[in-house]
Amino acid sequence: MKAKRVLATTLAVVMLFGSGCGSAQTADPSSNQAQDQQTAEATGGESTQSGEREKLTIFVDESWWPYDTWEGAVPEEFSNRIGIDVEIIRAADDNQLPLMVSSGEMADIVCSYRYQFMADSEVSYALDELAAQYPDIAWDPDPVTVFVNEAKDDHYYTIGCGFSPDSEYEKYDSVLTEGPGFMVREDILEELGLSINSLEDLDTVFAAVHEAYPEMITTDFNCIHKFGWLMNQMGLKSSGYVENNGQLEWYLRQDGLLDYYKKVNEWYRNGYITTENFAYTSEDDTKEDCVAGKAFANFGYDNHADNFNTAIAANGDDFSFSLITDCVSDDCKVYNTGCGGRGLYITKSCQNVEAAFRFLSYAYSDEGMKLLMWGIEGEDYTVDADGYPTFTYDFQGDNSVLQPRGLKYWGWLVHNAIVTGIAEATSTSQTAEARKNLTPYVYRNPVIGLIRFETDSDEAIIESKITDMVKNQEAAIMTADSEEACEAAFNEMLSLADELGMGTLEDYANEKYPELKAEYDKVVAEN
Amino acid sequence: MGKSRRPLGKQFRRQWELQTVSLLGISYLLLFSYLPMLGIILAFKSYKISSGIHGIFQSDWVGLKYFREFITDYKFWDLLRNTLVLSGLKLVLAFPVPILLAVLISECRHGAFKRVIQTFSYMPNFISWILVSGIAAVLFSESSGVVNQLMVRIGLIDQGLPLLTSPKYFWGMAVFLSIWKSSGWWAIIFLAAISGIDSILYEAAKVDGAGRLQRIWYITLPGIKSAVVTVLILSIGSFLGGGMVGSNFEQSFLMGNAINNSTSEIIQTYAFKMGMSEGRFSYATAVDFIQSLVSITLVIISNRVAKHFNEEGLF
Repeated sequence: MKAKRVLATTLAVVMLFGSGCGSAQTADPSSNQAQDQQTAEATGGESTQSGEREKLTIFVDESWWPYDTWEGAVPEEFSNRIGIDVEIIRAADDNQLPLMVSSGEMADIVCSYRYQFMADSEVSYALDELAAQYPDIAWDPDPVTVFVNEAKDDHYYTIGCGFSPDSEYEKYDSVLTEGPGFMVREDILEELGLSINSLEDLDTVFAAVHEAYPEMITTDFNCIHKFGWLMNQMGLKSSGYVENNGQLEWYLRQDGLLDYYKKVNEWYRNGYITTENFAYTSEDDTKEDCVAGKAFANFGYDNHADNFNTAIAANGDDFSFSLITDCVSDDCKVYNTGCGGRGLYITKSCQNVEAAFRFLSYAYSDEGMKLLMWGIEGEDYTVDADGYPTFTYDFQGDNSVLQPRGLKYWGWLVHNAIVTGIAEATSTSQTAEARKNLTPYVYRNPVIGLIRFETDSDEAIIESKITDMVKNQEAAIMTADSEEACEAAFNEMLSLADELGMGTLEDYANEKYPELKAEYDKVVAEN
Repeated sequence: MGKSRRPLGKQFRRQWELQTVSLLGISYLLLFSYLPMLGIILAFKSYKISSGIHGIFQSDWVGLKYFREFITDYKFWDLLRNTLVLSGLKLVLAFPVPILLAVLISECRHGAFKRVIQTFSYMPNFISWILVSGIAAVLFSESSGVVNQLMVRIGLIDQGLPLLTSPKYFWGMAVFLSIWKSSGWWAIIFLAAISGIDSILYEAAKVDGAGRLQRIWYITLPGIKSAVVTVLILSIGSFLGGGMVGSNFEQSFLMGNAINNSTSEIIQTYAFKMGMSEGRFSYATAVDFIQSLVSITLVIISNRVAKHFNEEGLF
């Protein structure tokens, strides 16, 4: 009996200790709010009683993001304007955020693209409720932006970046769209007397380079953007839903997708693409190949050529990459069906909600976005009569140029489509040229982006499984030993997608789409 | 009639120093090994990560939903095959190597050489898998790896082999790297067992005219039988993690990629991906729970087999 008592006591102590830890970790929103109100009252909103500035932590859920401290003239100016210091925590990997969310130990503000995790009343504060709670803080997002960010509970928890309503686009003659890009070594192209004016030219150029420079990688592809430029040129969408005869289909059913895979597979079988490229997991891998002069061409993003050229020049090398800035196919189409990407969320762990809301208020303002994306007006850029900026620095420059002053990448966390879209409207850089040429081929439909799946719903699980399957199957298709094997692997991918529930995703979308479109159109019409 | 037992409290007071130390160990075990096991209930509940720690207890019961989902998943059989094959290969190929290495080292009569070999063989154990995967990339890369370049240069192959990217090389590379990394370390256990064998037995065998191989066969190997059986049972217990040389997860996680995924993805990495990246903690718990059940079953079976043939077992 005594042994049992000892065991029971030990267990009880351990359990108490364990639950104590648990309760300590769990944020109590009501106590936070009360504490915040007291702080706000005591500090007058800007500084504590001791005169120290308020401080916030921001977790950036993107391991590739280049900054890990809030430093440089631009972030310092931002801090000075709102009287808040910021500590940045950059994600080590994709797994950090789910752990933070489940443990209830989050930074004050989280910047994440994972809407499903974060747009939840158990995780984040609703911004519409905070606007009502803090009426002195300026907060007036346009109704269309609010609508596209609304969660199922009719509250909105963030403003996803990269979206602007049509009414904002109409204010400018030139709002550029960014996207994937393709670049080649200009010196080698000239030496071989070749040029790229059509998709067929790619075969000719790759064959000639492969023969003339067998030791060189004929073409690399970026592990994130893959062959997105080729897909755009072929008029294909690389994820999500596409419209076909008034119905939404999962992109895997697109006509022409097999031709795309066959083309990449043909390049692989001809030795133009290395097997190792399929194992790259960092964007730096392809950048290293290109900057070191190991690769002739690279499929990546439209700003990579300008960005890589800065690094090549810094190394003292005398070659450079040219971006293919023209559309080289009649089928060219660029899909923009998003309604906002990553966003800032004020978490339920936030220790100073009022300060965090003040931070968001300024960050999402036109002035705040321009400060974070473009820099300090008068020092980093000037604005012409039409509202377009001219920069005093290379906007697409290497991080080594941008980082010391804290330029551009803070803006990546909060920008809307206009702030990025007009940034280079008057520029003559390769990136700007490509964007200008691409913009007429853009197809915008944010309503498709509104079809979201709830966390752990059947649709979310199906989508996740299909995405994972495609990632692996795609590699098998592209590296197949023959065209027949490539086609067989493609058909296997389609049948697996069907087996996993691609039809269910399509049924879901076709049920939701008409009502979402009607609501969206109504909100747009009213504003 | 046996001796009457002393009251527990009295015994405890007499041994309080030792008991305090043991209580610390027990507390550690309870806190970090048994208490987290409560989390197994997640496998039977519809847990949403946004509900935090309270959600573990408040979420709805869903029975065997996640177990069914995993077993009927299109990847299930591939994952099971990869896990079993990788673990089986490690058990069969990697288990004998430390024994062989220990015997060879113990038979080495040159003291300095023996120490150098022993040191160099166990040093890789202290290198993390992240570094080992980096070293592997430098050595075995298809285009720039030293090994491939050497083989091309001496005419063994026309072009580099995709040792790190092709699905057909993954298991071989994983087993090879595990043996390289862990054999020296595990050899220490067998060396300790060999050093416990009475040297008189060797001298007597020598007098009887037994050669070196006969001494190894009739004295050394039977002398370390208990250690071998114990390590074997422990290895089978952690069979699905890679057994004695372990590291299935690290290898699959670090050396797996989209191309070799068909052979590199195992149950553990799948559970990790589902839990950590996708935030599906309940499903990931169910997946891992299935693996744990298989592991426990293997321990019980191997223990019984060991007892049957050897009359020795762990329990």
